[in-house]
Amino acid sequence: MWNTIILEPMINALIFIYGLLGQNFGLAIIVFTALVRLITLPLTMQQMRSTMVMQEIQSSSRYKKMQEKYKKDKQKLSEEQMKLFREVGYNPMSGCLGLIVQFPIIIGLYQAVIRTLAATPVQLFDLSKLLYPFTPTSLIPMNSEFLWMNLGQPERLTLDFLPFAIPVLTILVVITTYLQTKLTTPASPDSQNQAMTQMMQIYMPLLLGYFAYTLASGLALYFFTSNLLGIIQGYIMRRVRERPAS
Amino acid sequence: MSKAFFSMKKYFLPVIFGLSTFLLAGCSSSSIMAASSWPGLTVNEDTAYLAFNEYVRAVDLSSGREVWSYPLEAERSLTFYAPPAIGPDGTVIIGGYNNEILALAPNGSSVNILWSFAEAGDRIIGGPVIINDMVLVPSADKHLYALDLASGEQVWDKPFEAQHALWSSPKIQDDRIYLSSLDHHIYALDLETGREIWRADLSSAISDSPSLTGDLVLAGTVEGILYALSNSHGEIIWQFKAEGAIWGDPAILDGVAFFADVSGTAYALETATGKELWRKELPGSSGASPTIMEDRVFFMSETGEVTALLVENGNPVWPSSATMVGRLLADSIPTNYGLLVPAMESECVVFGVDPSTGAARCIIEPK
Repeated sequence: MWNTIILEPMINALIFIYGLLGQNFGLAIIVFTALVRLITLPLTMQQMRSTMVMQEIQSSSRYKKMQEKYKKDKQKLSEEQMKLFREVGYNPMSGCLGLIVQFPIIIGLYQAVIRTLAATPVQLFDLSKLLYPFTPTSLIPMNSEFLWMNLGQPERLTLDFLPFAIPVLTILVVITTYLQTKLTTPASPDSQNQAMTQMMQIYMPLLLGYFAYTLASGLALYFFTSNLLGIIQGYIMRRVRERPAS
Repeated sequence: MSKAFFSMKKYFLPVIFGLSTFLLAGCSSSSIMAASSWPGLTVNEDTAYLAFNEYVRAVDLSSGREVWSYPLEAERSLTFYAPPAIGPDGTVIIGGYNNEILALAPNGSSVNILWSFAEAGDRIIGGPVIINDMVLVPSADKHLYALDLASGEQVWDKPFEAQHALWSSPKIQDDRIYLSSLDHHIYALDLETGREIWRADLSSAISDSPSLTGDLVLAGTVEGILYALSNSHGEIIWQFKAEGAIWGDPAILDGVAFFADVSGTAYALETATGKELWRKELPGSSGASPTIMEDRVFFMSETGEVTALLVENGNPVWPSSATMVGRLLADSIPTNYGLLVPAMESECVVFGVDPSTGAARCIIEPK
């Protein structure tokens, strides 16, 4: 069911895009990631809007006073918070719902990129079973060369004047993951929540950085593109939201 | 509900994060870090040579005892899947996913490294082939290397270069090499120099070696077409459209080619004309080449079944297919110890199947 609903449509779409873009798999990953993000834009906007509203609420004096006043009565604090949310028209579920719906799409996109790369015999065999009858098999296997990278191998940039290779994509993935995580996880006055948020802001870039360093660079390109689009989207949304206030 | 949800919300992001980490890590390990190919098996007299994951092992088939293993201690970065080639003096040629080719000299329970060749730029996936005093090694870096069996030095002026990765062993007939590539081409090369004699564009990737019979070269494509080419100039003599992608090379007996496809259909065609003699449904997708033993042909299904059909009419030999736990994607080998069937994702790496009854037992366990 997962294959039929999520994976097969994504894989076949990715292969079509690859064919349309002159059999450039790097460009296909970038365009496909952008398209999927465009399709899920209403969901991500809802999630980011929810995050920003939450940030505004948390930075309000009323919320801070409430935290101070009811810090020993969690039940009462919770009730007051819900009251405040109702007053400002904020639904705590709205952001999470978007995230839940996006989750299988993000995982599917990731798997589609891995499977379409098909850098090993087993992966290529499995890929051949996921193709629609009308998908042109002449496009398989993909040409995995893009810029200085082999998208099926971990990326390193070698320069003549340097004695070591530079993992450029890994560095870009770490930086953009950090920025995007910072944009999408709200600062919280609650110390426990704050610790979790900080942990994510450190752990997530390191984890994706590790994946980017050790796995096929096609994935790193996907991580980077996805992060970059997320950052741009977050930045635009912030600017739009800040405009009426200024 | 909202209140309850709010009290849970602080756990929500970490849970989603943990779940995504688990899934991403799970996906990556299963797809890239775990066994990325099927076992490579070669049999020479009473010894089976198995390349799988971190080891190449020699196993005495008469006793089931492991004779030697290389390396002694597993290294995560060093994995082997290409079927080893065995020289006339017992030299074992292996190729690894670390791009290196090694010549091993077994000495009792240990092995000495005679030479190594480290100039390939990508993994060795297809098995090396020994011909006369030369070793031919296909590499995923698009090159076919010809090495001196004794020294490991390159024999040709330069290696032959295809347009895409070489994942399968070359076949040799007379003074020519026939080579298939993921670049959609079958190449005929001069054995002595490595120079191209002809190439045939089949419009789709060819994942396994071609089969040679008489003056024909047979090759199946991912598009699902079996081609018969003339071995002199590479022109297409006939072609046959199967139901699904073709992975394994055809097995040939008495003018009949047997093969199966990813849709799980087995075929028998007349090699001279491409005329279909019979077709049968298999229990699952097939990626391995069939194996012929006497009057029967054995098809491996990815889902773990071995099906024995009569060469003559495709009727089943056993009441039902022999079933094993694991994916059967590697080519099986007929031996005096039964049909040896390599498996992946299994608690047994090589099964021995009795060709008369279909009874299966584990011959080689994972290390």
